[in-house]
Amino acid sequence: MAEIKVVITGPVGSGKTTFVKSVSQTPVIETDEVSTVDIGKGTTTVALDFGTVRIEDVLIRLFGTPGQERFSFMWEDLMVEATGFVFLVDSSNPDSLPKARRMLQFYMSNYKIPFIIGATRQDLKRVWSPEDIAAYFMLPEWVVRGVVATDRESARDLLMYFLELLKRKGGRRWID
Amino acid sequence: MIHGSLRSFNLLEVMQFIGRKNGTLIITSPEGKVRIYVKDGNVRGFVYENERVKDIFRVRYRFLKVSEGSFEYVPGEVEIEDFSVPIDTLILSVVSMGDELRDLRISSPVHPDTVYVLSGDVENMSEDIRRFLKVAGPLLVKCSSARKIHEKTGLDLDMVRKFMTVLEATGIIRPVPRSRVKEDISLLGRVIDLLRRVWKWPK
Amino acid sequence: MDRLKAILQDLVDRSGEIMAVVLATPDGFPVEFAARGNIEVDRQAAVIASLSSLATRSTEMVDIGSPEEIMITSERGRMFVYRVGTKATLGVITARDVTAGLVLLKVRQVLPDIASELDRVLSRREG
Repeated sequence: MAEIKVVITGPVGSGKTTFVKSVSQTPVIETDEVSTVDIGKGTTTVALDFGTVRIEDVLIRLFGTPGQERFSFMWEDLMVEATGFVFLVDSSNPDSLPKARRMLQFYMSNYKIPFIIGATRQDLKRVWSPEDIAAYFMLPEWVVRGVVATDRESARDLLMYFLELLKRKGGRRWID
Repeated sequence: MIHGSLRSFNLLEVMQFIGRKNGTLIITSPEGKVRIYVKDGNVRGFVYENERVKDIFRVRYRFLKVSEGSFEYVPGEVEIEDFSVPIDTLILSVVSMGDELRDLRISSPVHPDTVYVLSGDVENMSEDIRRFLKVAGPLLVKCSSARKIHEKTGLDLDMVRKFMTVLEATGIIRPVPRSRVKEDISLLGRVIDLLRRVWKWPK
Repeated sequence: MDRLKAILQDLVDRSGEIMAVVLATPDGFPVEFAARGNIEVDRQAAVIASLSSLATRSTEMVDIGSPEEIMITSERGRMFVYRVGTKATLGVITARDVTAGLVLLKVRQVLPDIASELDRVLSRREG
């Protein structure tokens, strides 16, 4: 059984903790605390989320990062020995996209490992399509997939897609 | 559907993004309602508050004046074709701005720690841009981030980020992965040409 | 707020081994602090919140109850973290050769004061 580490990252409110909780087959370790400022939701991750899921013959250790900048000291530590990362963006909140783009550029600039982008909240109306998000991020369309983070099957599908790409393209950086 | 607010998006990047599409960009701002008709990478029409603006200088002026509001992109056939200006030209016109560049609002500047490299050049740069490239150019040739440029040159970090955002939108710099790509001779040649013009080196 | 600052400053002043104290919200924002010299309060507050939250999950996972105190012994000093009620977390940075028992006694003595002062400040804000 192969074991890999996948980091789930992205800006505040993109659905990282929700994603890990939906897909994990073991009880999730989360560090959600009540938010004292308005970030659009009641709680925020202050250290990390941890979950595991077995897909086919691979055991995936999932590490969710905190989204807020002041916890950025965690990002580097969480990325150690990661096989790749899944970058989530809230497609129903376009105003989060520019910040997401800058954050993604930072990740791409500093970590040369495979990644895909999950466009969350695709079940809502008035969302940006995965293709449009790909175009805005100046990435090929195959890098961006829609996902509903609250749905276990949808979350699994995204990880399966990532695994498929890993098998086809290998474990080194995919995008230059 | 593509929509958002200019509080978060830079108009330059929105233009760059819809540049390859066909449709209408509708901007609702306190300055008035603007409709920009885009077809095959060219701006074909510009309507400001129901007035069709056909003078390119006025288009540019109005375009750069829009600093806040919301936008929405409607794909499809364009109704108005008054002129044809490549979107790149409109975007590039920002590097030839003078004092207005200081006032240009940049909603989402480059990340301070993303590494960029010099990847293109352009004629008709403003004094501001020229001066910035004089100091930052040699660093960007070897790949640098806004923070590194700020640390090595003493230039204000926010200003560095602003200039780099403009340079990124106009294709003069682009973000790179950490591992440096192997030397590209033709790229190096273009970069030397750019620095030559910026520094006014003899040929 | 002044009284909170006074309590924390007093802790630092009266004990030669305490280098800094930082009171943070559970989601990592600084509430108040006192220190000998400079510290990056914003960063410290975030780190303290992370440690506190992780500790809570760890001890609950092995079913030994909620953490009362975290102690980290480092090459050149020590760090202690305490939850203050449900609304805040206190981080205390000390010298390495600290008389652990005495320092903790002092800190534990003021924790109730800090808790009630914090309640007062927060209810005044909400009221």
